[in-house]
Amino acid sequence: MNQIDTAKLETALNLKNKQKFARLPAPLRMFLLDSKGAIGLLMLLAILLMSLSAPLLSDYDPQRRAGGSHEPPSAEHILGTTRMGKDVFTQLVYGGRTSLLVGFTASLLSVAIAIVIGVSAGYFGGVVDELLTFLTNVMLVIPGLPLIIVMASFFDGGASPFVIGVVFAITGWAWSARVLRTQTLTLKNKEFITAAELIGERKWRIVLIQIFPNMLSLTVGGFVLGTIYAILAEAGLEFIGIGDPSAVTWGTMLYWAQSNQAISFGAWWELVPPAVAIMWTGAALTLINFSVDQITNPQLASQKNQSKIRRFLKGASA
Amino acid sequence: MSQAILSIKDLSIHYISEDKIVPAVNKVSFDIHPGEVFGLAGESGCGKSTIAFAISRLTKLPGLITGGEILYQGIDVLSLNQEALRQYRWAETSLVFQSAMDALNPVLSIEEQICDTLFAHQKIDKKQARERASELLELVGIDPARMGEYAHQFSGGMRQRIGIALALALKPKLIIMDEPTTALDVVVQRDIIEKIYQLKEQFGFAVLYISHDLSMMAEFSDRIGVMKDGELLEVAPAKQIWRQPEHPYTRQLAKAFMSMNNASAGGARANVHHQPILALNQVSKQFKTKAGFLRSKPFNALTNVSFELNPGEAMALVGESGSGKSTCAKILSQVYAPSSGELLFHGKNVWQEKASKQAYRKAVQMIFQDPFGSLNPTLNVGYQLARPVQIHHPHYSTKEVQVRVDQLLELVGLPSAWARRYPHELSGGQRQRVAIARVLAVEPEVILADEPTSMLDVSLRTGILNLLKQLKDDFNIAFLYITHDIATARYFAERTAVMYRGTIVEWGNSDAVTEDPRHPYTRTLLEAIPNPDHHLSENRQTSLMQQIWNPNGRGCTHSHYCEGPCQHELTTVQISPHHFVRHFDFGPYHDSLKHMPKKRA
Repeated sequence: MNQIDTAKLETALNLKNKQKFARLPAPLRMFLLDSKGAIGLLMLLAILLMSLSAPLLSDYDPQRRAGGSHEPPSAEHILGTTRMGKDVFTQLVYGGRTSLLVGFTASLLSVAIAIVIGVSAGYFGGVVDELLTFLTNVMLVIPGLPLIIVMASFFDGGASPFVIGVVFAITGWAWSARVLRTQTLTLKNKEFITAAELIGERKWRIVLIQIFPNMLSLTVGGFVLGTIYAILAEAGLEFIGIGDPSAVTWGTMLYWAQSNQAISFGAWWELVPPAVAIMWTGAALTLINFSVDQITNPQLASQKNQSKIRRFLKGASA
Repeated sequence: MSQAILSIKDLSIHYISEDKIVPAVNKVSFDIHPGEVFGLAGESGCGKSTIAFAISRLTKLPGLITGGEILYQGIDVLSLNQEALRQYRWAETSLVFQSAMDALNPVLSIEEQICDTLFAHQKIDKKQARERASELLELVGIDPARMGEYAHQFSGGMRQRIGIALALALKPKLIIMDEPTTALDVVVQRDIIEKIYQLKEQFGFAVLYISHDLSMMAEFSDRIGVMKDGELLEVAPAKQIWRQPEHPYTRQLAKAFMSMNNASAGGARANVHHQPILALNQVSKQFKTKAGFLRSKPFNALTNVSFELNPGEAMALVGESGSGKSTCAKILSQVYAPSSGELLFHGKNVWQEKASKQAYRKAVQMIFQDPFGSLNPTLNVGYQLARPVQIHHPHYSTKEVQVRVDQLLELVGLPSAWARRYPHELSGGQRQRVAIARVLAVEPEVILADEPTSMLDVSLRTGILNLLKQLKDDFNIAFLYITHDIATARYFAERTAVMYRGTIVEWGNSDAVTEDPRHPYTRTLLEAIPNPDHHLSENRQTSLMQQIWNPNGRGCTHSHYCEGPCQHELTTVQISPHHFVRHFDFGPYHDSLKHMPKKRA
């Protein structure tokens, strides 16, 4: 049996470098040490910053004609113009504002509903649980997308992005609520909850301060996934023409590109930028979700180094 | 001495964590000889289980064997290839784990599991395998007729016996036992250890016995190695470790047991004739258990239990799991309502008067068994202590609350700066101290302590018990100390009540009960206490316990023979002014009981 030099292994795994982050709280540390999470976060920040500083990045109005029809990318129009002569880059950054805002608010709202319903059902039990679980199950079996299409079609001239967001929130909370209810049931039987009850803690404080923080990583995971879903679905609905075509979002950009037959005119610049933006945001959030997964599940985190260790061991024995 | 069956030389094992490499085992060397019981003692986290896994080559990343060698009969275990390893595992060395429930597969019957083990290593047909399986079960004292049953149908002790039968299946020369009895009651523990010893004498295998319990180990092992922080401090014959330990750490470990086993808390206070704080009066509790479709059978968890708690006095409730002691605690903490009888708080029936029910909530607090489950991991110590102070003193300013939190930490012997720490930064003993401080913050009159030390290392137990004793005297708190360990009961409590199958069978001053036990069950409990001065080979007699103690028993003493509400009146015999025992029907009457007619409710 070969003796293994732990000092060399430490250098091979670059552990010294990681110790610098030791003082940070565990979730943040994992985020920074995990390359996936860090890349995802940077990607998301980039697209957020771009959308937030839209008025600084562009002088044009996204709704108005800024040049000729289907002008290719140039110094004046970085990503060219649409068939209507609107500046694509301007539409992209302004559209990002709406798309991201709708995605995040819809997801936040649905997570909030999920927390209230899931945690209450789990903690209070009995009749409350029966009723809320019934409601959750009903929501689960209702097919979400067709319902949204039906609901959105009630609005004249298509549903505005925010209506779509709210509809998402109302139809999309059931799955997280189920997960949170199960988690609450496990936590409820922990002795620290009994101890809190014995010292006379009020019920809402037990739910909010004792139980909820223990499910934070789970909630964040649900929120990230929910955001991806909301952004993609919103874009999808607008693309098929359910949304309000006068709103500027990534989805309506795709809708117009399609109905103006941008591809057959060879105007790829009308179609590609919104598509890439949606993919970019989805990828960023997925990467973040990988990291969140590792925080929730330490088992995954401990497997991270293994391939590096194996490589080192092979090198050492060869 | 003969050639060693297993010899470990300079074994080092490291754990690779997220940002550093931590040594778990540091250059440990020892030998195990054929037919020997080698004990490996140490506190949790000292690396003893890591060694057990390394011997079976079960070490997996992030654990890494970084040096040294393991020789089994001269073969280098660490360089075996997969096929050789498969033959070496289980056929040569087998393992018995701490938790038999987890070690047995819940969806396979016992028979299938034993036969699977046999088929994997031997070329035998089904019939032979079945025969061998029933032979193995008989060896460990389990009725082979129950072979087709599943793990959950057996009690904890019986599961561990099945685990031992599995370990014996291929006649290995070395069996590694990783805390085989830690999760079990004292009586069951003694039963299992005696069984293992008897089998060892019969088959001559060697045992690596890993435990934190030095007293049991001294009784069972031939030689003992003491580990601390990954280092093997000393190896010596068991008697020597116990009587003349060389290393200061071993001395400290041994002392922790001595003080516990020989001290007493003194008698009950003679002058207590005022009203008790809390009293149970003829309390019974029945549960409904399923007995087929839409039918239920009542199960008597508690039958006519009465006792009282006085200020500044501790009463111990001793019994095995399933004896009803935790049901008692749950009735006292108002989780369950009693089926009959009354719970009196300052003389008032708690379940009838709403006002006293609320006062009761505040006055009766609880300390839990598991210090890892009783503190919220997301909140710091300061917050967890400040909340009860704020709830019970709403007029306190932030400053006053802070002062009180510091004071509480000081009371339990922790520095006040630790208020900012989170539970995961504290050890088990420190967590238990925080849990105690949290209970004190409410300023209770009664504290229910449900096995407050059973999950802690032995060296920490005395500290926690001494702290509780101190608090009892300083604040005049009444304690109900629930335990399965009658030795610590005597150390901590003035009065002891022994529970068996839902009734209190013997009660009185702790000294009287432990020195002059009358009830056969009390005697059984006392006999089960490890006696490290005598090796198992020296004192082998069939104990009382084998006559009366039935590993299948649950509920009331008579629950096997009758149904419905209990109709037995057991008379009480007074032995001395402070010592009572319930009339008992065991022993010579045991057989006659079986012929009692079934009574219908």
